[in-house]
Amino acid sequence: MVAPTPSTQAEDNPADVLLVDSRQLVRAGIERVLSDSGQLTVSDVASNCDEAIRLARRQRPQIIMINLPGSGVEVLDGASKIRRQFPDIPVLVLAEESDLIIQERLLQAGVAGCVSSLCSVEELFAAIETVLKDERYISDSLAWRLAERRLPGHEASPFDRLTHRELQIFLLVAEGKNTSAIAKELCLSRKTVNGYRNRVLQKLHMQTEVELMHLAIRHGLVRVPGTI
Amino acid sequence: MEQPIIRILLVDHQEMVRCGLQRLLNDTPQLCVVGEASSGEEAVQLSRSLKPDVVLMDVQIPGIGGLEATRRIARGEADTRIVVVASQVDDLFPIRLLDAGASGYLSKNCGIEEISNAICVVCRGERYISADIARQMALATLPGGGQSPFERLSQRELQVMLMVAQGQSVHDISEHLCLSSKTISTYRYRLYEKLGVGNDVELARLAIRHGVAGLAFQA
Repeated sequence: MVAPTPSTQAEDNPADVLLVDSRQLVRAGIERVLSDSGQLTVSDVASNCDEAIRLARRQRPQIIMINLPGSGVEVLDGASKIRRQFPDIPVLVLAEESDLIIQERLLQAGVAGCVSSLCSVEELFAAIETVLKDERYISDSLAWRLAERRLPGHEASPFDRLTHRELQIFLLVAEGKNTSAIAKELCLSRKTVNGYRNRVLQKLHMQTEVELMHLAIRHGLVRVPGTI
Repeated sequence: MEQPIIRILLVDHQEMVRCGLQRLLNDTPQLCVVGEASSGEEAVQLSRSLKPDVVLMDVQIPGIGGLEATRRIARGEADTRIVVVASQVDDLFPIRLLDAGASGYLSKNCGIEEISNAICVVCRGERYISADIARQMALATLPGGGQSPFERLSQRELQVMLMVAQGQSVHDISEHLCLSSKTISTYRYRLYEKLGVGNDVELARLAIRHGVAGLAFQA
C-alpha cells in the first residue's frame, strides 16, 4: 500500500478537513491527532451528514472525513448525498471492517477512499494524503476481499442482486423504519417504497420484513443496540 | 499542595481516538496515560501488569467486550477504578456495567473536561454518572419503568410475539396456532401497543435487545 511519504503539500498551508462524527469526545480525539500533524486543520465538525452538507456549503473544506458509529445505512446514504452535492470534494469514510457490502457500495457511490475504522493513525494519514491528491484509496484488506469476491467459484453475496436504491430500502426496513418514515427520508412516495420493499423480498427470497432484519444482522449490516 | 498523578489505562477500539485522547488527557497536569488497549483481553492483561488507577473503558470493543473486561478487572484489581465511556446512550447498559464493577459511566458525547472530572471523582472513591445517563436510570426506577415490557404480556401474546420475532408471517402463525389471521393481527396490534413499537421489525429488535428472542441462524 501507499507508504506515507513526507508531504510536499506546504506545511505552512494545512488542508481543511470537515470531520463528521456524532460523538463529541471522539471528534475531540481525532481533531487533536489531525491538527498535531501540522498538515491538516479541522475547519469544521458535523454530527451527521446533513449538517456536513450545510457546513460545506458555507466554507468549502478540502476533504470530508466521515467516522459515524453504528450501522452502515446512515453512512452510505449520507456519503452518497454529500457526493452528489459536492462532486469535487474528496470524501474519506472510516467504515466498520465487517461491512464489506457497505464499503463496496460506498466506492461505487464515488467516495474517494475507504479505510477500516480500526486502521492505524499512519494508515489514516496515508489515506488522507492520497485522496487529497485526487487519487483513490482502498485499504489492503478491503482490496483483497473485494478481489476475492470476484474470483470464480466464490459464492456471490445475496446483496449483489440489489440495486443501490433497493439496498438502501432493505437496510432501512431492517432498522425498523416503516414505509412512511422511509418515504419521507428518501423523498419517495409510499407506493414507490412498497414497490422497492416487495422487490427486495422477492430478490432475497424472503417472506417477511423480520426475516430481512435477521439477514441484515447476520451479515453485520445492521446492529441491534444494547446487544454485545 | 501537590496532588498525586492519576495513572490511566485508555481502552478504545479506534487507534486514532486513543491517540488523540491520550494527548488531550496528558495536557491535564494531574493525569497521565500509562497504557492503551484496543480489545477486552488486552484491557484485562494491561490492567494486571500496569495496575493503573483508572481504566477508561470503551464498551464496543472486540474480543470479550467492555462488559466482560469490566467484570474481570473489577474482580482482579481492587485498587483500579473503571470509568465506562459508552458509544451510545443505552438504557440497558449502565446498570449492567455498574453491577459489573464500574465506578463511572459517561457517554462519548461528553467533553474532555467532563472525563477529567469523572476520573478525579472516582479516584476519591466516589461514583460518577453523567447527567444524561443518570436521568435515564432515574426514569427506569419509576413505576413500570424498570420492569421488562415483556413481563406484561399474556402467555398467548408472548407466543405470538416470539413467532413474529422469528420472522414468521401472519399466515404461518395463524396456521401453527389454529387461529384466524384476523385474530393474529389483533394480537399483533395489542403487542405493538403494550411494547410501544410501530411494526414487526421494531418488535423483533426490542425482543433481541431484551434477550427474549435470539437471532435466527437458518441459511
